[in-house]
Amino acid sequence: MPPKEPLRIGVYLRDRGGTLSRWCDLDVAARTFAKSKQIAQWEVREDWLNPEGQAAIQDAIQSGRVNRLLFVGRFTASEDEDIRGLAASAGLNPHLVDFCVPEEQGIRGGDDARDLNTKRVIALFAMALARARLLQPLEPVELPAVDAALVVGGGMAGLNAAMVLAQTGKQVYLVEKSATLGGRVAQLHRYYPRMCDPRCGLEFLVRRLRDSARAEVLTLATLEELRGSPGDYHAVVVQRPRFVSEARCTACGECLRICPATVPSSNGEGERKAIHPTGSLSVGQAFIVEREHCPPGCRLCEPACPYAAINLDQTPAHHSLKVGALIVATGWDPYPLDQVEEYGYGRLPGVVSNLEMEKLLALRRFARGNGHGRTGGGPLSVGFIQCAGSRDQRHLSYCSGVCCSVTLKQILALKEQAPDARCVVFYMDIRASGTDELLYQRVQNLTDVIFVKSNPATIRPEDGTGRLRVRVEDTLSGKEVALDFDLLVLAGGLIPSAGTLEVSDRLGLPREELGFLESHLQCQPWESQRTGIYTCGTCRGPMNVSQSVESANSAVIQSLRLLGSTVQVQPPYPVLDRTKCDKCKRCTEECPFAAYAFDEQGFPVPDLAKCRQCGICQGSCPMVVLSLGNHTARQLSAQVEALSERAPVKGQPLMVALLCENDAAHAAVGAARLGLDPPPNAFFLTVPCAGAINNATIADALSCGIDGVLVGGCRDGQCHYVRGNELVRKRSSDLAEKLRKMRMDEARIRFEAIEVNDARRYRDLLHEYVAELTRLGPNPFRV
Amino acid sequence: MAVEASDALALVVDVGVNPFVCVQCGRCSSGCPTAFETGHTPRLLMRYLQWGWIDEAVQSPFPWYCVSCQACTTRCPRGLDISGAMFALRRAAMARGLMRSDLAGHFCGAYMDQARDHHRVSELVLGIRMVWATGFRWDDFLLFIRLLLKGRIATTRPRVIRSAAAKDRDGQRGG
Repeated sequence: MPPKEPLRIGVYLRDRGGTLSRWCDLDVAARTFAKSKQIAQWEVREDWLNPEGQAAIQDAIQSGRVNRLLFVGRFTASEDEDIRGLAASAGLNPHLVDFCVPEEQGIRGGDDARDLNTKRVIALFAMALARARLLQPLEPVELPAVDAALVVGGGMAGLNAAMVLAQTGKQVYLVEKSATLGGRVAQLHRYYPRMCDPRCGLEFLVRRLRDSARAEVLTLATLEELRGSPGDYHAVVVQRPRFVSEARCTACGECLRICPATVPSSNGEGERKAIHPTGSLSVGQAFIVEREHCPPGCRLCEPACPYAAINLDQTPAHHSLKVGALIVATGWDPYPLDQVEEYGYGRLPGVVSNLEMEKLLALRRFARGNGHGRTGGGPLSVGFIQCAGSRDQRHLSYCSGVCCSVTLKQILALKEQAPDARCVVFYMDIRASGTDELLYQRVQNLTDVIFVKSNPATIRPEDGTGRLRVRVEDTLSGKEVALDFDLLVLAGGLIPSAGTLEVSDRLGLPREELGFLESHLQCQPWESQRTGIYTCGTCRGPMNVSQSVESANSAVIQSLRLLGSTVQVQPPYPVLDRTKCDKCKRCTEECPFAAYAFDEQGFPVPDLAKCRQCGICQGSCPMVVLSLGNHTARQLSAQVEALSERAPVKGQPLMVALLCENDAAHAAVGAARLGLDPPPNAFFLTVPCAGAINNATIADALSCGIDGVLVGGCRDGQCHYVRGNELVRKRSSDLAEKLRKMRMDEARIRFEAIEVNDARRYRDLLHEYVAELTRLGPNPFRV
Repeated sequence: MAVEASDALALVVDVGVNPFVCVQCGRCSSGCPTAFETGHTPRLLMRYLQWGWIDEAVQSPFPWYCVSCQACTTRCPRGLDISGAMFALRRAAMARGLMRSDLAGHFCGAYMDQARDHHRVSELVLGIRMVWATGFRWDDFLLFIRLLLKGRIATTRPRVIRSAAAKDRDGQRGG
């Protein structure tokens, strides 16, 4: 370690147009700190960003007169950056520059307030200087990165993500568990709102991917392991044998002639050979051999293939891939409708799921001449039961948001094939939001489509005819109706696919209460709670095809940050003092993003690429040896201590508010902007997240005589860092316990959820808290 | 499913109303000044038509109470001429001989006969017919006389100034 340089703090006050000196006496403040040896320079100017001001700062730094800069007064965000840049160009680490904005703490009004305001400013200066003394030079970190990405899942979202990545010039690996690309969308007859055949869009995507030199598609493959960190992952992918070379197979069908093994087709339509084509797309789909159906010892197809594409001895392949980011697009499964027993799915012929209806429509089963589906002589009658198992506490508590539009789409497709078909839709609410309403109106403009706001309780097969009898209350006419149907379509919901759960377990991706992969839905929907692992499509939540495509694009754009030759991590990132760490693992447990791993000696090591710099680890550390850049617990404690020595008004409770910089701090600044009077002895300090507040800071504050500590965080469930606000409350309940034992009032710590717009409430809270603290009397530790 | 093309449905469709377009929002009924009289509402009648319950629709008293204020038609979010549909239902009822024998039915008959024949309505004739049709009652008759004496009932039918073109059309219609 280099010898410690003596501190030489330059204090530069900006009094533009007298905005600062109008409400406080800067001369008194200057006199107060005149004797401080650490202050090397104290200067008031109109402006520090004009050429003279800049020259003065540069000169002060370059001449070695100052090695810490404290700017006081209002600066815009871009001026902040300019000043840091100026310091950097003069050779000072920009993190040694700090700002103090006295106005943000609120200015007391009234005639005699100038004196009090000056005292408040002096207290603030003392706090800012205490912090400036402890500022550390910080450097950005460069981490290795790979210019490649891995996409898990070859459905609509995954294919789109892979294509966009390839287009942006990244190497991309697409891993698909099944033998064929296209996922659920390939099983659809049409997709709305344009009623296109999905194969059109999918084939376009698959062809583009196949033609791209940068994309590698691995079908029959699963992600087995993921090591490393964002920007530099090492993925192990295991590919099951297809026994047919995808590079060579031209789908000529010669093998089909010779294959002796016949098995029932997987979709129940006729039979197929043990070697057969995959998927319904016409491009990029090689044949596959289902070896379990081959007769023992049979190798007839191998020599029959004119392209020598078949190799029956193929074994699973292990691919070791270096990638910078992961995009998970593992999709959805239909809710198992046989669990909705009252509708007889799987038991009654004629009751089908909406996904099966897609297949019937694709096979044109209802078209004239096909005759299928009609059990009686009259026109075809089809019932659609919405919310089959959805919005139901016994099944899925949520609305999948697409099934209503799917039913509308299916009615349009059905009426195209059988214009005289009679349709009845049983619904609770038709949720065709946005432009899907136009789809709804198109269906309403047809004749013989009735929407019945009522869901059947049971379905009974009618004796003899094979039709299905539904008895419901037509709530709109108040009458009971009994209807007979040839076909009943159950609109089932979307659940996270088995693959989604598997990937979630394997990669440790948290799931929200409905089982989908969790993210901060409003601010960062694209990223899972594990940095570097992005989610798109229906593994994130129910969505339709167009939303899925958009989500894929947003996930790709966000992942680009990690793709390249290096990943830059700007401070502040957590730093561990290994000499004092007792390896208690608390930080690893509380980190919401699982950024911590252990080194060989058992010390926790933050993965800086995974870290989102919330500081929750610092708040959790019982030894207070984890520090987040220049937001350390030590700095906070020093500031609070400085405040305790300079209470502006004697005999009144002294309180400090520790506010989350995302929400609560904005309320405090807003209160000052509105000119709301703060209590004379109340000050606030900002923290990156309420979760970054260490119990030690609160304990320090109370032991140095602060009467009350207010912790302001977000509302529950709104924390950007998952649950920092809840963590600090939980931790501090232990502290409150300690306070009780010390015969101190628990009320000296208080937690409040304060939102951005809570300026007035914040002010009221402060006054109310100060009143309560007055009742409690002075802190017994006050000297 | 008993949705069948019938006379009533045909008449309704004839005035440009496809009942399936109705979303049953109830705005027509909420704003209707006479719906409370019968317990039936325009929305319910549209629902009957959707189901094809024609008998219920033509037997409903509501269409006879419709005063053609057009509030429903003006407010319908799907642009349906509900008021027109109610009149179509009246015509359907009359075609089936389901002219109502109560006050509303008689009033409609007395009013529409005159409107058809003279394009204007004589309050005197209307009053006499109503008093007659409802079975002669002294209190009604005395009320009628009192109104007449106070000049509240016009004794002459307002004159219709008809253009030559209108007369021409009347001639074509045979009326």
